[in-house]
Amino acid sequence: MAKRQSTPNPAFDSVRSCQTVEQAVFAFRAEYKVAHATYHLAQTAISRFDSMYVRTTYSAEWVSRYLQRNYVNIDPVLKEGVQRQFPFDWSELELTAAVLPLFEDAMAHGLGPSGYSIPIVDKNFRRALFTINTFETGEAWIDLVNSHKTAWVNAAFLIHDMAMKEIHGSNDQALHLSPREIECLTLAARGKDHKDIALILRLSAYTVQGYLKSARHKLGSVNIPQAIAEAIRSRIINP
Amino acid sequence: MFLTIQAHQYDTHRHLLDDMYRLRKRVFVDEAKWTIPHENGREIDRYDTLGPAYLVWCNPERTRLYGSLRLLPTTGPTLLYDTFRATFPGDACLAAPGIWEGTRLCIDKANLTADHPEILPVRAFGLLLLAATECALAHGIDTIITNYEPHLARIYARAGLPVDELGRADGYGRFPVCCGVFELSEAVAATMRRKLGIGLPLYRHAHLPSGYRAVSAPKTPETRKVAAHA
Repeated sequence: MAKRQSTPNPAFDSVRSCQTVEQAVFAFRAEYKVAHATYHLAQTAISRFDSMYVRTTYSAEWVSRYLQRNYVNIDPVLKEGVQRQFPFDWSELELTAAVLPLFEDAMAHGLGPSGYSIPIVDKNFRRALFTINTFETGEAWIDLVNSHKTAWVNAAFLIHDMAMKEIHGSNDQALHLSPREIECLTLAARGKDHKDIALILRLSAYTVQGYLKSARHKLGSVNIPQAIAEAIRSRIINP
Repeated sequence: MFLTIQAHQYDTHRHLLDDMYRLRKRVFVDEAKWTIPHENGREIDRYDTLGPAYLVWCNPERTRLYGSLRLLPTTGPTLLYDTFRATFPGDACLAAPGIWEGTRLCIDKANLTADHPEILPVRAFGLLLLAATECALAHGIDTIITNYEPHLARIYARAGLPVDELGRADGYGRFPVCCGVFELSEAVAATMRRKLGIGLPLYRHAHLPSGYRAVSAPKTPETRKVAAHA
């Protein structure tokens, strides 16, 4: 796929253009050439795995084995993942002897030895976990995480938005843009860059970037041009 | 030492957290006169029930607290979004991955004076801010939105971390309360280290270059700590 200058993360396009979350996790895996990707929406009231919303590239065999063996009750990635706030490398987990068979079994069923999990929390108090699994280890794995972690976090939130649309039929996250965000987006739509906008609104350029980033996130867009198009389409701005 | 305490570690560090709630009561209720809920000498609000990450400054034995900061992602419910939205709509509504909220930043002057008389309060704020910056960068956070009393802006600037004020509101306490943004980057961290005369990172977020393959042959039968938070 052609890399465009204006799109910092072209991989987003293939994820975002997916019709379903199921397709999106496979698209993510293909884009970043990782072993597996999993989106897991946590449900606080119900702890039964089979009633949870999970979309994964793991083999059906591994998923059913995971369910049959009740690994959900001991899986530290999931257990800690819905409690933590910061993204974490699986090497940060404190592993007890009781969970080692789970990891050995996972590797016997097509999972790689390394993982990176991104906790997701939204304005409606929902929590989810997006997990990347690979066969890369050591320095290669650390380099991979460091070069992609910002993009992965953004992709995780995009996929969460898609899941919310899939479950609730619409984007119930559709938050109101603040007046500042609307001002910045309107000026951006008129061709001003963030330095121009900062001068006009008497803000720092960094703060303007913050408002634009926030507006982009709220509109579920991958870049500013797309956010502008979305805002115009939704009649939020009228540049 | 500086460490982060996330929800899965609350129980392990419950004494430090309890000291933090008591410190916050002294700093924000007694001194700053903020009208915020408190009970039994502790300041705890609804955002403490949402599993925030705390950055804590304490002695190596983890028995004495020197300072703390509460961190929440702006993609979820946050204090500033909820409270400042009413006061000046539009200015405090930033919400995106990579933008986090830092609130209840405070220093225990009594404990510091007793254990480290050479560290004056201005430097103490600087050290805590540097650790917060390092912690944020380690976790992919490039912007922190925060609230503070106006006089602290000068202390932040002296530490090399200028705050960009978005707005301020009266009626919360002794002074107006400001809402502002910290811009975080490796360059900012380097400036702070230079200004504070600090050579090494204060906050260490260590990753071992191994997945769980290395762990499948544990050296100790019970628990093996795979990664250390220095």
